[in-house]
Amino acid sequence: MTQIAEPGERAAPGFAGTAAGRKPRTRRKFNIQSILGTTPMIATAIGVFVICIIFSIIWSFTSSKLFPNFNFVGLSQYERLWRTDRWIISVQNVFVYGVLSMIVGMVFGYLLAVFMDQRIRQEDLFRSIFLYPFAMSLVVTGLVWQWMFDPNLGIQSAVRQLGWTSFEFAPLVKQETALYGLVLGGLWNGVGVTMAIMLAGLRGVDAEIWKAAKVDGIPTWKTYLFIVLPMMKGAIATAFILSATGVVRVFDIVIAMTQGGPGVSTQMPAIYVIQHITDRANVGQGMAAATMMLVPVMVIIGLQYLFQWNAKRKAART
Amino acid sequence: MTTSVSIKDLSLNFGNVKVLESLDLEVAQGEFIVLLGPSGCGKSTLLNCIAGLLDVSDGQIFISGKNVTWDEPKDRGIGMVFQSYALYPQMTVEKNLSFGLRVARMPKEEVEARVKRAAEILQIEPLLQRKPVELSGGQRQRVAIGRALVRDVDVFLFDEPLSNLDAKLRNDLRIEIKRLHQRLKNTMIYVTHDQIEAMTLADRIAIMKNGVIQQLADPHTIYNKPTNLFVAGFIGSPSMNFLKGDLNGGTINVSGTPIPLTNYAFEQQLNGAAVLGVRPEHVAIGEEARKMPFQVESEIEIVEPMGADTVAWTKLGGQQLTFRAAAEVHLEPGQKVLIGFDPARGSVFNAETGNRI
Amino acid sequence: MTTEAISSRLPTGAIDTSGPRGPRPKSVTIGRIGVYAFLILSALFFLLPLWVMVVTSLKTMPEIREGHLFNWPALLTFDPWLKAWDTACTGRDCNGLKPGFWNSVKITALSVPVSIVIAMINGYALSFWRYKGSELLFGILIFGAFVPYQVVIYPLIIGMRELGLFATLPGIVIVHTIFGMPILTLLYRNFFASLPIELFKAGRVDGAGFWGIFFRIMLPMSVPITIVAVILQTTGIWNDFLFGTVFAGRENMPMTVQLNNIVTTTTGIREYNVNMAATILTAAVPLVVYFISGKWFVRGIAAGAVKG
Repeated sequence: MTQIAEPGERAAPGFAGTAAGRKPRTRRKFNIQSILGTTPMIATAIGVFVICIIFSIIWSFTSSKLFPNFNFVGLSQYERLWRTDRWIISVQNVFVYGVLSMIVGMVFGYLLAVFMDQRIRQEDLFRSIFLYPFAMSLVVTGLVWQWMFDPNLGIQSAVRQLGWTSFEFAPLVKQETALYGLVLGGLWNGVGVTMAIMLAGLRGVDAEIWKAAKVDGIPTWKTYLFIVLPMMKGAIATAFILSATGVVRVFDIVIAMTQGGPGVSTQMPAIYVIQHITDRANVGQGMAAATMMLVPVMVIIGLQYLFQWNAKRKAART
Repeated sequence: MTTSVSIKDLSLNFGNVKVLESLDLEVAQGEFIVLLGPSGCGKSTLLNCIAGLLDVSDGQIFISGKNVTWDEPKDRGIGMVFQSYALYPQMTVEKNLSFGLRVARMPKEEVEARVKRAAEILQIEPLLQRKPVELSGGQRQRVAIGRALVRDVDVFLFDEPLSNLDAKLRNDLRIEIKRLHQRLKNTMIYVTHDQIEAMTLADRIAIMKNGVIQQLADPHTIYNKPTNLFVAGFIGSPSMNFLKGDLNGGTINVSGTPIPLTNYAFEQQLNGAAVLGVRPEHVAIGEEARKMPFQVESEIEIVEPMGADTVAWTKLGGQQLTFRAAAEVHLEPGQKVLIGFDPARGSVFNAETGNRI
Repeated sequence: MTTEAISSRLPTGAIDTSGPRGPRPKSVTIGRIGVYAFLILSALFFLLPLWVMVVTSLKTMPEIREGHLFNWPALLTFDPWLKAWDTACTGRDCNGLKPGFWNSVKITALSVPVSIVIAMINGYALSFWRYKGSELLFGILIFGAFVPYQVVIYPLIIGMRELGLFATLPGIVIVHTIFGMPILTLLYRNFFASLPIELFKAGRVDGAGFWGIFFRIMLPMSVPITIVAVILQTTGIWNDFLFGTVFAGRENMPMTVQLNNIVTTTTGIREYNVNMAATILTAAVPLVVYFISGKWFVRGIAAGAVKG
């Protein structure tokens, strides 16, 4: 009979499971089959997410051009980076894009979810319509919207042909408005997911809260705003994190829709990096830019830890 | 007695399923009425209809003389307490109590006065600035009751409010609710599946099964004169003994043992298959048994010491019979004892329809 | 109080025929109209590009040049579709999207099972067979999910080159496996953690080890979550662009990369109808998966979005 290691018997400190109240699982220090089975995970975690990041950072301190070298030049790549217009504009662009997409996305997503929560007939049909764009590649998204934004043959001209001759809707043509076109395309693709997450959050609210609010005489919209919304912190956080990670690495849709233009009005950090390790043959610069892209990730992770730590503190107080 | 809540010919269908059928119920002013029954009997559904949270398929509801069948919950003059408390988690206790009033644009002084009064009655003043997550189950339930209190209404509705609490807390809060009723004297309609809550709290109990009220009476009557087999078996723990037999004239023959039913208050004249119901605590043993109109020797099979008393299992005419004995009495499996009871205190039921004879 | 029969109908239980009775009258309120209006307008917003895609792809170029973006074609033609599939030009190759399609099929067909099986084993090991450092490794994996690809892409390129895997089919499969691992492992870990541990214990009592329990108990049980994983991965990998451009190489260029090349690097006359046809063809596979999978797709998003 195989020896079953009853978790309760082992008082090893490694039983995070039991301590946290979760179901304890068998745990050994040295579980050969398990280690063997997860070699890809080990290789990926260490090989890619640790070693590659380290190398990227290392090469950002070198003078690498077409090929990587270890000729260290201190912070000169970073100095050059932050003196380059192209980069600074990329950062500004991704910031504007990010803030706009996320705010509009979350609000629109929440509104859609609220309306979908009203026991609509054909709820499934509506949900399919709101979500299908997410199944389309961002390249497809970019190309379609580029076509629709065409000044001569797209939406602008079609509406003008209907009689409204001064209608303006070709954001990708002008530098000042190109970003907004990008935002619109990105929203079209992603709002459905935000809505799905918010709707799941809404549906997780206890039905009795709704009953209590009804008996108290609180109008529906106030219930959504003052009672339900504060209860959805989890869903909101999820939607926020999901959008944020998508925003920082925005690449496909820009390549397809504007190629970074007109001019540099839709340049993005991700594109800057790729351009510098390919066409521009300046690996050092590219790596410096890439390392900078790591910063917001660290910030978000830091915030998450802060949030969790704070929540644990509050829970410990009661 | 003025009627506080009146339900006339109420029906509720979910699709093809008849959840409530042609229900009538009159609740007097200040009465504490309990809707009791197993899961799925329709008691919560009925309560939600009274509250206005569910649309009825037919019938009318009157509260304080007014026809509220089409009124929104907030206009019905009701306050409601839920099983899961349903406190607004992001608001303090004080805000939870006052939110509805503020939304209704009540003047600030009035709101404060009402909150203060409710907090004082329920003894939750020190908790006013805390959030629900910081409160214990019992405290949360008091806040939930408080939220109904501040509405200053005639009728309180309780939807299994104690079911989420552990046994000890349930007992404590049960007394509080009883005290509350004695102090406020409001009409209270209370839903539960727990017969102890029902028996201890109610002025009258409505026992429900499959959407139909089986019996509506005060606890004493329900306990001693249940109207059918279902009610008889539902109330009382350990449950009533059911002895199947043949009823002829004034005697029931239980598998060969004739039991004369002299002094039993028959409501109908019926012969045929019948069931005699006897409560375990009405069965005496030994000396006491000799005073009983019906006596029989029997052998004890199982003994269950409960602490406060002892429950023993034996057989009468081959059918299972349980009885209660004082804890001091020594009982053993295999022991022969004399048991006896007064059939007039029991209940006789028509074996086919289940109704009381 | 006398015991009554089943109902408690009192003598005065007459129905008040004048007042309201029965269900509330349903009025179509402004609110309700507003809700539907908002939803329908939003639906139109989401459907518009699809309409434009289809309509444009079925028009002839002369008609397109007249504008009227939203009109149904006066003269219907499937030529653009044929052209997009067979003869459109990416750079110097004029073989249409065909090669890209088959490349995408190859890449997806290989990457999806590989990435899922590996993630399944990971999730299984992390749930039942933890070892020293396994949680830390998982943490790194999750951290990796947030890291923008550009941060690791260059060293990865160098690494792949050294291993001779750059611009090869195995190479891109490995890349997709790497970057799909965090979310898929999370998915499986959460799933296995939600199963009753008695299942696992029963297997151990029967004498099964790591692989035994995996193949005989856990694998069969994981069908629902695997469906979700397949949907997520198929859609994600088919729609990928970045890794396709960098790691696939010219022989294995996926459809998305080809599409982009066809549309954005055309010199001379831009054939919008062919472009739109090409776009639809590229979007077709994931769209079909989406419509077939229905509710599973939503479940996939919800599952992937739930943070561990």
